[in-house]
Amino acid sequence: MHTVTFYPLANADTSKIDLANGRTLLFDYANTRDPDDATDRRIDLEKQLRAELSKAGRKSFDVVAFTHLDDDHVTGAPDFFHLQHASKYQGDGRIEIDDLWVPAAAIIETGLTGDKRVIQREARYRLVQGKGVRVFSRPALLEKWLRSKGLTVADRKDLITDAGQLIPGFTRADDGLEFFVHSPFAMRTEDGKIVDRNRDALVVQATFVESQTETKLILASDIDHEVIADIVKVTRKNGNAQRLEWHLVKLPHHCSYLSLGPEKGKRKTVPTEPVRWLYEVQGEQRGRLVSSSKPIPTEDTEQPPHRQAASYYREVAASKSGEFLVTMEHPKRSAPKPLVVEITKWGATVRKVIVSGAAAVTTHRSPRAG
Amino acid sequence: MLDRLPALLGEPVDPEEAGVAKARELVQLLQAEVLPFVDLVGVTRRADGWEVVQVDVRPEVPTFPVNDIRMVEPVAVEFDPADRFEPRAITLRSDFPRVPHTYVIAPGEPPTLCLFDEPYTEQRLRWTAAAFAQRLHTWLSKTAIGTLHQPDQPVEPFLPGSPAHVILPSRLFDAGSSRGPQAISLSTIPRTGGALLTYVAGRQRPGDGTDGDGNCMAVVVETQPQTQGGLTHQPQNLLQLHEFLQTMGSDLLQTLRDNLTTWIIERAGDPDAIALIILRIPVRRSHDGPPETIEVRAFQVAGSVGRLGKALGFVDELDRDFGAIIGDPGTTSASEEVPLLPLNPVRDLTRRRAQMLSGNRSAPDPHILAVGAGALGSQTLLNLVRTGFGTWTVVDHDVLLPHNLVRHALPGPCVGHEKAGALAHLASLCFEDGGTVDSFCADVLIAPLADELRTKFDATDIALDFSASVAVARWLALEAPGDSRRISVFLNPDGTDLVVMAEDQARSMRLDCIEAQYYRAVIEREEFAEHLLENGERLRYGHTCRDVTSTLSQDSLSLFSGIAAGALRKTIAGAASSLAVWQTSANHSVTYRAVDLADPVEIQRGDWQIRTDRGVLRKLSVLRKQALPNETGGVLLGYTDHLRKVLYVVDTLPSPPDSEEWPRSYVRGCDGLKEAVDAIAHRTGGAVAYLGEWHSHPDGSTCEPSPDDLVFLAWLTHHMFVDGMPGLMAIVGEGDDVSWYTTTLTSAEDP
Repeated sequence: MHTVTFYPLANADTSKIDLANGRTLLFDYANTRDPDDATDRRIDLEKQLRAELSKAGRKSFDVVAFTHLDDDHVTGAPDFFHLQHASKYQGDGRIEIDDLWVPAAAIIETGLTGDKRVIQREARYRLVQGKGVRVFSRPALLEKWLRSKGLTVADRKDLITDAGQLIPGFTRADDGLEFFVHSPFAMRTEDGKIVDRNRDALVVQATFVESQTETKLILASDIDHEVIADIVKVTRKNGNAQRLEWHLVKLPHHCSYLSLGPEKGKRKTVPTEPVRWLYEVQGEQRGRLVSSSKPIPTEDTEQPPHRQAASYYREVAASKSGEFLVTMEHPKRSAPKPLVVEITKWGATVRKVIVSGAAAVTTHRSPRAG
Repeated sequence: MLDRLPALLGEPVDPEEAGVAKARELVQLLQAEVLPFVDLVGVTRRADGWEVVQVDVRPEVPTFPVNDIRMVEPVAVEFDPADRFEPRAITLRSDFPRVPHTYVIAPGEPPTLCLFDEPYTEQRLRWTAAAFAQRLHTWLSKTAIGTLHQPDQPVEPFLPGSPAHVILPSRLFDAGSSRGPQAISLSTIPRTGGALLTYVAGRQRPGDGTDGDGNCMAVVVETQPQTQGGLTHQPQNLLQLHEFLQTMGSDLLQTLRDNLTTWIIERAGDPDAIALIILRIPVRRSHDGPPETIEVRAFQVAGSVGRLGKALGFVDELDRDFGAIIGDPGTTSASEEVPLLPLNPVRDLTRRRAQMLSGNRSAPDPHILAVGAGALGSQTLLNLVRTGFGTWTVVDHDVLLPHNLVRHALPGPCVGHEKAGALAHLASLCFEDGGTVDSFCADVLIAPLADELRTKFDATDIALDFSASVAVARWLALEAPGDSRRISVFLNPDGTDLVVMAEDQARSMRLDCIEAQYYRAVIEREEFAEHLLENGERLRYGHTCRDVTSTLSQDSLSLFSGIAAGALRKTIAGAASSLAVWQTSANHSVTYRAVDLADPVEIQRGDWQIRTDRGVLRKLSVLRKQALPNETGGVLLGYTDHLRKVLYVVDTLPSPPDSEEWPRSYVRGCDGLKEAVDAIAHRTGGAVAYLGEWHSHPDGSTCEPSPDDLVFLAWLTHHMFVDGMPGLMAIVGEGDDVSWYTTTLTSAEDP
């Protein structure tokens, strides 16, 4: 059995994949919880991940991917991980990263600050060292950056994966899992124009295989409807439509209407045609859509999640006898918990365990007694 | 499908007004929103006061479920205001799949989910709304992936059971029983309260293979193998049963017509006979598996064969001269008018099934001839017969007397009857296939043995001694016909210990030799110090050491007959000889003590045979070596079988302290000797006494008697003549060399 876990961090992303063979991958790390606020329902990500690693007898992740360097995907990472580029980020029980995955933009972006800048330094350091890193896509600016370090793309070609390729190191045979990269990318359209999506986030489709059952997961990071449209266009053009099929999708950008279409809509966001195709045609029966976001509001809001977008996703779920799930609403708004999806020979199952009172009490420290 | 749903739900009420305690508990739990994945939808109340809580359950459903369970399942839970019946979970989805652990109570009702497998009277002790909701959630989650029904659970039945039993011959449960109407003889037994009857088919009389006069026509219908689904509702009339069987590809009405034709026309069967329909449904776990079980159900047709015949187009009720209306198929609707009484069919017990139910399937199945049908024998035998173990011949010459009832397997009505015959009869009542025990009334010790009994001894696999008689055991060991293995089972005089002695399969170790070693164990082993005493005293004259005291309660006997049955089964499964004692204590604990057996040794000297064993010889040899270079000696202990002229040498006593031991001579002293011999006689219940003398010869000498030895033997012979015994002397030499000498006087004057 493989599992995929989505953590309740409000409008922020952290997803974990645990493979049946013991390998563990983390997509993004955003420990957004305010430790000084007792009413904050977000999970203490560091504590949770440490507990899970300890249970698995591990001190490292096989892979940590930062799909892009935004706060809601990076927050707190320098406090948690062992980083190779500076000794101040080492020791003290920090969690090691065997392989760091970043989109090319994470190397070449300028003007980053705070935690984002620390992660960029780590990615750059590893790329110069030539190990423990994988960079997605190879824009001209990457080539330029490498030259500034006295290197060429050819020197680092084994550490670079382009969209449309499978990520090396994971196979159906050995891991029961393969990754297909959708973004970032650049393409030339039929009219000869260049579409440059190299500044966008890492988007992959993971295909799990368990007892010959294929279960497909799309991790859509924070992309908007225009990026989706371009991904759909290039993927269909290359005859890879099956690489956009899904049984489980981590919805982009915390249920923002902008990931569906340009207009928010009154009751429901109407998706653009390529987006509609992605959800309604490529989604399989009993598909699950996971929104990594705050609970869906009942009123209209400026910031995501947008109830109009949620209305659309709910319709998609209903049409497929599937489910629309929100990380901060699972299993209930008053006490969100990690959303665990088991991948078995029966496909994907959202774990819905009703924990008994005694079990809850015996797995927690009691309050102070007087 | 759900046409009865409105009636089931009743009228909506405010959830706050739920009045049935458990309904209120569930509502409050769900309103508190502490339980994820189960949501309150509403509450309704029926005219009969029952309340129904409607919930939406969100179970774990995978992408590719095995059964069509949905992400949201609407369920109604009905609550009995008097809490007599368990809260019942009913699916509100009209296309809910037919899966195991669902049942339909009445046509048109949605399926009920069978959440718990224990009676509500037990469940009620732990019932909470939270546990119920959790179980409902788990039930749906597990059903989604088809794991609710555990691989070690039997396959699910299609039809519900019935509180009324019908006990039927086992052959009706077997494949191939569906050919033609079967005549069986049913008797009815009313149950307390009057509403229910138990039907019992007459058991086969031993040998004649019939079921008596046949007041019942049984028609067996066997369907094609079916894959387990959920329980359906109980068919109430012939038409409903017919329609149910149609879904399984069987035509009940046609089968009944065919059988009636045979019954009425060909056999001129009784039209007043009871008509019984027996269904055999082979059930498999999954579509690609083999049938794992046959679901057998029975229905009594209301009325009689005649009523059934009329409904099916066989007419002429007036003059009771039944005949078929040829070519009249149009009676299907009439079958709706024929009510059915569902009966719970129970297979009568066969010996093979008794073996299975007792866990003795692989045990050997020998023929056993048991001599003695007393308290221990009768109870041990019945214990073994009930486990289906063995076929039996029981031999006894006694009749059952009232005082026997305290500990005998036979009940009061058998008083005055011969124990053997009555016991065989009682045993034969265990199984429908009757007699596995025959009997013979005879005293085996009174010659000559009847030819028939002699034949039985020749043919049996095991001859078992339950007689509590040393004479019978000795006879079985040495004289009884045949070469079957002999086993003896008895209690000690106080009734505290059970003894089982078994010859080996090849009979190289006979019961009498085991008996001798048993006495040696009593002499040597501290735990047997009181084994052969009665209330700490030596036995009164006229008792034998296997004669149990007359005061012993059935609870002890029941314990021993249980151990004896188990020990016999195990002993018979092996081939080795054995001697084992089970000792009970005042707190009812039982200690098992095995005694190692030494190889037997037989020597013929004139008219007399000396029977002893390597254990005795080893003991003599050790004493000799300890005394070297001097000679040593002592007395031999044992007993005599004058009937067969056998001297059993059981043990020895060490040389008394006042003996004179020299390299070339030995004089046995007598300090404390008589006391020691008497103590052994006491300890062995008088069985073992002084038997003779032995002394050793030094290394390099033969075991030939010296002139002194011959004088010694003459002295001994002279004295033993007084007791009617021969003189017995053994000379023990180097290595294993032992020579035995006996002389007998014909008169005291003839030394």
